Amino acid sequence: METENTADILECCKCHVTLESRRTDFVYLNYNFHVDVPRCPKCGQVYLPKALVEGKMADVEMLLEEK
Amino acid sequence: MRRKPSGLPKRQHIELLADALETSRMPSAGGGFDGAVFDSCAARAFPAMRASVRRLAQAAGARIHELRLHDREAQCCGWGGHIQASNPALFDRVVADRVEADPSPYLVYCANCRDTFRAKGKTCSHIIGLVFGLEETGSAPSIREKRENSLSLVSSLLQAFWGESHERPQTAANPMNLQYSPGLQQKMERLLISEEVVVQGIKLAEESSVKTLNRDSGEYTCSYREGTVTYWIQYSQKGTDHFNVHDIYCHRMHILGEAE
Repeated sequence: METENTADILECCKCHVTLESRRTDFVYLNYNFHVDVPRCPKCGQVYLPKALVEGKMADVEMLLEEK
Repeated sequence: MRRKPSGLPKRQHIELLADALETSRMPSAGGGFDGAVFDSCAARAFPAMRASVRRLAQAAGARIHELRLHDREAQCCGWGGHIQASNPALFDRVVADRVEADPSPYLVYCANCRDTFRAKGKTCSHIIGLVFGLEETGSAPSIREKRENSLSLVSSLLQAFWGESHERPQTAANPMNLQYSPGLQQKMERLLISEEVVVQGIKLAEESSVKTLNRDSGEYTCSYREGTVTYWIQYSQKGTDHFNVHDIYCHRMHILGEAE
């Protein structure tokens, strides 16, 4: 999966540092995926952009659910 | 709440209602109904319940007939599996198929069937409303109205049958002074997202500071997981206790190794 890189304008409000694009793993219905998304380099907080969630992720979920 | 004593036979409320009304004076409130029984898919394994619905309807004076697929072949109205949220196009096709199976009004005995059909403009009556002559008009209730109705019922039952008072959680009347972007509440209805999700998500984010700030727009984004669904809420704060909710989106995939 691909995602837009918006990490440099995003700040973790807990650690007050700029997010960095990092590999993040997902699991759904026993299938594993990974994608680079903005994450806090200190606490690991993830930011998922709307385009990714409502685009590729929704497509994959629908495919696996066979709905 | 007290538990049901063990050893009692398990029976559905519709069956009990049919028995109770047959031994009393049956109202004839359903005399004006003429339509098809739409069996709930959850009733496939409950023949006594399905029979009770028909007994009730006929005793109430309704004229009913069967759909081509009924009883053990009952079809899901479209609500099952929350297809509405995960695949709206498929949901629309499924509901249209069910609605068009018979042009006459439907008699249903599942609130989800009723709300699903009502939302698509299909005339239908719930067996409880039919038997007791309750006026059932208008569109399907919103998620918030359903929640309010459920809480009211719990309060009433606890008070009436167990003598217990029920302190209702704060759900009503916009507890966080939320302002939604145009069209967002319609999106939430379509995705079956309750306002409680927004309230809990923002509340937790504000208390924990686990949220991100978009430095360009000043917008915050937080995530909130409930069951298998993760919700992402984008908002901004206006004053000390007002929040503008810009967008909300959700997914069912689970993020591994995320900070709690």
